[in-house]
Amino acid sequence: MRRKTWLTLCILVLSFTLAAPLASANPLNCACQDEDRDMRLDSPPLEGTDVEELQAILTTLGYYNNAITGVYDQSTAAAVERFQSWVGLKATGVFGAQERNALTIALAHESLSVATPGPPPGELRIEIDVDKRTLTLLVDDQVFKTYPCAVGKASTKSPVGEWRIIQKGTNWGGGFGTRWLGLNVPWGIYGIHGTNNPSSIGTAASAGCIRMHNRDVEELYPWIKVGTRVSIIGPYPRLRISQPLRPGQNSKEVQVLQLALREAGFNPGYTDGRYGPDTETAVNRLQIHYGLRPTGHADNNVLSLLDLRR
Amino acid sequence: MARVRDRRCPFRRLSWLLAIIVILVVSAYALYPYLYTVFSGQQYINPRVSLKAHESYELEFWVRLPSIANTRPFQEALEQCIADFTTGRSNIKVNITYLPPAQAGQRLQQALATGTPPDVLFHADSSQAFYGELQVPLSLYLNQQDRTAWPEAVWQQALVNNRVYALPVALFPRVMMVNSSLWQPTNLSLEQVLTSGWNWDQFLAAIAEAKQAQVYGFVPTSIGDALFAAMTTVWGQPAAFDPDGAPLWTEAFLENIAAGWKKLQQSPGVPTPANTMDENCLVLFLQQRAASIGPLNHNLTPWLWQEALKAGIQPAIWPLPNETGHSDFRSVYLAVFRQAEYQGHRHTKAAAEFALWLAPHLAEYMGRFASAIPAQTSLLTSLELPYDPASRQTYTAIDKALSRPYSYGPEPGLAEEHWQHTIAPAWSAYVTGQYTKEQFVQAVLSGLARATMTGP
Repeated sequence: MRRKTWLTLCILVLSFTLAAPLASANPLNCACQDEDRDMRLDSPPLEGTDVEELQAILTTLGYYNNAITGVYDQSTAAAVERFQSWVGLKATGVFGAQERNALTIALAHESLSVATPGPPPGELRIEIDVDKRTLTLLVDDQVFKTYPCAVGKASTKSPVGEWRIIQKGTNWGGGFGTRWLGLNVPWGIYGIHGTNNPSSIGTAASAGCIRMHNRDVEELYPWIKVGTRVSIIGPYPRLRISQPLRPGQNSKEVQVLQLALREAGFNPGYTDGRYGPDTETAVNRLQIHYGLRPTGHADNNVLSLLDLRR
Repeated sequence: MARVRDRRCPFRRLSWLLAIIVILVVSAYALYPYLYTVFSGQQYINPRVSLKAHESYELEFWVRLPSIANTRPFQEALEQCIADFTTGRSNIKVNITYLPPAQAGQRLQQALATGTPPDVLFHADSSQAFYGELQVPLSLYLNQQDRTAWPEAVWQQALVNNRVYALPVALFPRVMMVNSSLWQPTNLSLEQVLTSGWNWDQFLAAIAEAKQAQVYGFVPTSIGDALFAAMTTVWGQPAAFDPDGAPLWTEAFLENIAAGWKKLQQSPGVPTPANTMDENCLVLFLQQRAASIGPLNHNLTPWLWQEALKAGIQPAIWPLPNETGHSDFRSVYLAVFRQAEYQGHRHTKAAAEFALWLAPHLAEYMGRFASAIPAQTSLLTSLELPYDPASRQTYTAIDKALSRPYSYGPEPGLAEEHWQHTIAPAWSAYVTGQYTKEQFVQAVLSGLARATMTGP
């Protein structure tokens, strides 16, 4: 009996000792909670610091993009579903023990990724060469690393121009691969992403997006912040414009105007298809240069001077 | 004995002393003729001084480039030209500084205020010939033969207080273009207009005659600043201020311009309403829906000529109407300055030599890259222009330039501000119907008066 008691005690101590590091690694083990609860959509919705913590971790991993409220709402459930899909669990939107363990592993992986030697400090910029099918990361205009990529097909060309990263996401799944870096192209959804078809890299195969190997886009992902500049270099589209353009408009035609202004020596800022103050100033300068009334509007006179009029 | 000698010539010693003083003064004046000027506190320039081979001269050359799409070829040509100049003169070094367009006036104003202007200045966007007392009158370095290189009208434009302070380099013509076939009903010939000129009323009569169904007699390129600037030349006074900074425009002058606009606005030959008169002007002309168009600057004229030919139009360049029989040519200059701190006559001479050498080369580049007309008659023959002979003659008739300065007083940069903040808004309000003629005239006159006031 005494021997049995000692044995039981020893097993208990050993199991606590082994479990302790695992428990401390689990981000959802909170001191204020006696035990982990399963989290799901409920009425009234679940609330608490554990939900808040879950939302924060899902944000870090790129699955959750909304405000951290501490309320297990529809968007939190959707983020959990995306996470479940990525780790190969059934997408139920319920956050239980399996999800908790998977999250611990994912976090460890994320911290390892961040620890990979990144670019030196400086301003990062991405340059994509449509002809060479390469994506180059530059730091203060010096080449840091070049990756192969796939670009848009002839019928669905990649949007040549100067853009910014406006969105980051992970595991959109399918053809989007493991990471997504969205661009602010005003006439469609374009981005830099991974792939489930690695053999397409180096070809013109996409619907306009920039495809990379998953490992490459995963490496790039933590370095790139929202707002990073992305230049897609390639043959510019030559469109004819039938209607005058005005400040405030966003379109392919505006980008064509910007490119023509730049070619003519009047800097319109970034050629991003947005008729903003820089483009307006460039149009003004062109009008003054030719002795026209400076209105800042790309009217028929301006379109004629730039040889853009249909 | 001594007393006897003294009685014979009591002022002998004094006379000798006076004679010696006179000889010394006369000799000094012969050797250093500028001494009196220097002692009387005036600044003196000795153009006869020679540069010494063992002395080195470092010149600061500031350039405000012309408004052209790609300035790089112009810069390269200019830098090569300076290299050519310094190759044969190893003791002269020229440092070139390109002034950013937005800061050119301000930089120059500060430099002049602190007595540290550049040695040589070329401002391709300003017709200011006089910048105040630190400027060196370049006519001192020119002999009579040199002087005849410029047509009299061009020379007169550069004249300030009977001296030429800055060398005319190139001229920017402002013209109009007609569609020869649509212009035929006017029965006016270019030769006749070039010989005897045409005034505003003749121009209005012509555009009314050229009006046909679906065809305007005239479309303005701009009813804003460009038209107003052209109209000030039509009535013979392109500059708002004289070289000393006093207002030149009078009430009667402004009323004439206001009345001229009213007549144009009411002409059957132009599009209506008035505030849309300049919309689609290029398209209307190229689609043969306008018999004439103007005013055209040096950037627009060659472009429109080529486009007109492509569109199957036979274009012709005409002078803008003018009440005094002149043409509209605005000159740009090379100016030489001294520092407030004395640098020596030879330094100034080196700067003047550089300016005199550079002027014809710069004129050539202005013609090649900015479609400007060289200010010296001898350089006109080598000018490449795409126009037919008659149009070329109109475009290059610099002997018909208005003999008045286009400059706006001695303070750089300020004239543009007055123009932007006072004159241009008043004109815009008038042509868009927000101001009456009286309000427009008063707004401009009070703006000019404010501009001449000195601060506390």
